[in-house]
Amino acid sequence: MMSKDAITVSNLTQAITLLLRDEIGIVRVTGEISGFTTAASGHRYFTIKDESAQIDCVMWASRTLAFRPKSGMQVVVQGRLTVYAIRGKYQIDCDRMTAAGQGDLYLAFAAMKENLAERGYFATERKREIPAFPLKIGVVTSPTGAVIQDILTTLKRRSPHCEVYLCPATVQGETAPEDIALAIAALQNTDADVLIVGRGGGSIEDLWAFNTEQVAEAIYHSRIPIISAVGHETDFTIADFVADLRAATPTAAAELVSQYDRETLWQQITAWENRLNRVVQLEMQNYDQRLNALINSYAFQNFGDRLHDRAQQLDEAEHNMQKALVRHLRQSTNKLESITAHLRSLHPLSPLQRGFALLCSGDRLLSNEDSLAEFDTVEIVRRSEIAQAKIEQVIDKE
Amino acid sequence: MQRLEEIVEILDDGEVALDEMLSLYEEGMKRSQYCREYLEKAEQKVTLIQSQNS
Repeated sequence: MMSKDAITVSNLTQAITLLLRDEIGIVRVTGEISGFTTAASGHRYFTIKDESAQIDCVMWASRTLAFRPKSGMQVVVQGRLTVYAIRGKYQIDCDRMTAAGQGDLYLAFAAMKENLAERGYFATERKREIPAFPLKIGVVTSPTGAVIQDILTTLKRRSPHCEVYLCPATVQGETAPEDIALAIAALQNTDADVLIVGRGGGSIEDLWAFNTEQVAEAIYHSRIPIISAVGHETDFTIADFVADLRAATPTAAAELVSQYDRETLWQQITAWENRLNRVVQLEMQNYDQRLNALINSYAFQNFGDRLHDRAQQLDEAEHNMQKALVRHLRQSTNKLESITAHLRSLHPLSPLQRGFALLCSGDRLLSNEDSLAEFDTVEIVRRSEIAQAKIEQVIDKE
Repeated sequence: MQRLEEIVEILDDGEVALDEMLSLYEEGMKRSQYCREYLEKAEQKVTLIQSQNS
């Protein structure tokens, strides 16, 4: 490095530049901001310092900054060490700057977000549909300022028939999370069809309330579908993730709930009425046809004939029954006669007609079981006379 | 209006008994009448709801 010849300032500066860039490279430095200015170009210039040293910093407009730095703020910057040759100054070209301690806050925020995600607060399955024709619209926002005016103007222009329930809430500052949560809760007791919860755009700090668990809970537990409308296109808050639908701006939210203006609704109602009439008329014709078909059916028409048929069948049956009865009676009579004749032939006296005789002892008729040996005398009964007979000898035939 | 749309769709699908169809029709016509009246007298109305905090 040491040279006998003098070198130019530019050469030296270039050497210093290379040295700083290659030997030190990217740094992370913590310190207190002082003299923070934003140029018209959007580039930011400031110094960070501690008790005994300071260093210049630049942060180009193209770098995003999540908060508004102020002098006296403790920050952590990250960037390359560069040289501003024109002034012979070295400085940090900051890529990122975070407020000191914001790291912890950010971690807590990330943890809370993850927790909510795990509990299903962001699940798309639980997103409810925003009613297409809401008539009552609940709004939670600041009662003053452009946001509520934007919403009311948009609704008035597109859907003047909609009633607005405005539940005012502070949307910035310490009380904002509770205020917003309570306003959402208060609207649960109304017949609102849909809620718009939002505020205008702002820095990430301004939107802080919409990143709190308290607001997330209130949105999650709302029985009424909620459209979140926080700030501008690029900012996504936790409220946006939990809400059933996210609108980029409050005006966009108002447009979402007034997709159909009065004229369209009027036409829609007419169309529905026509459809109702057509469908019912068609159905009635259908029923009429079916009824006619039933009335004209063979079964219905020939009911009388069928009745006659049955009557005739009944008569026939009756006649047959009578005939059967007479036949049966006659048969029975015949049978009775033959039995009587038979019975008559079995009468003990009937053999006398044919010349046989009976043996009796006293009143008793002797049967084959009686032995004549037991009797001295028996009566011989014939048709027209009775004889007393003395038994002299009995010969056993067997 | 949502209910009205629902009724039209139910009837369009068919498959409803006669008495149900007639009562749906009646309800649908009542609702469409109500909607028309609602739209006709429409004038933006803003009601202030107080939350516990305010």
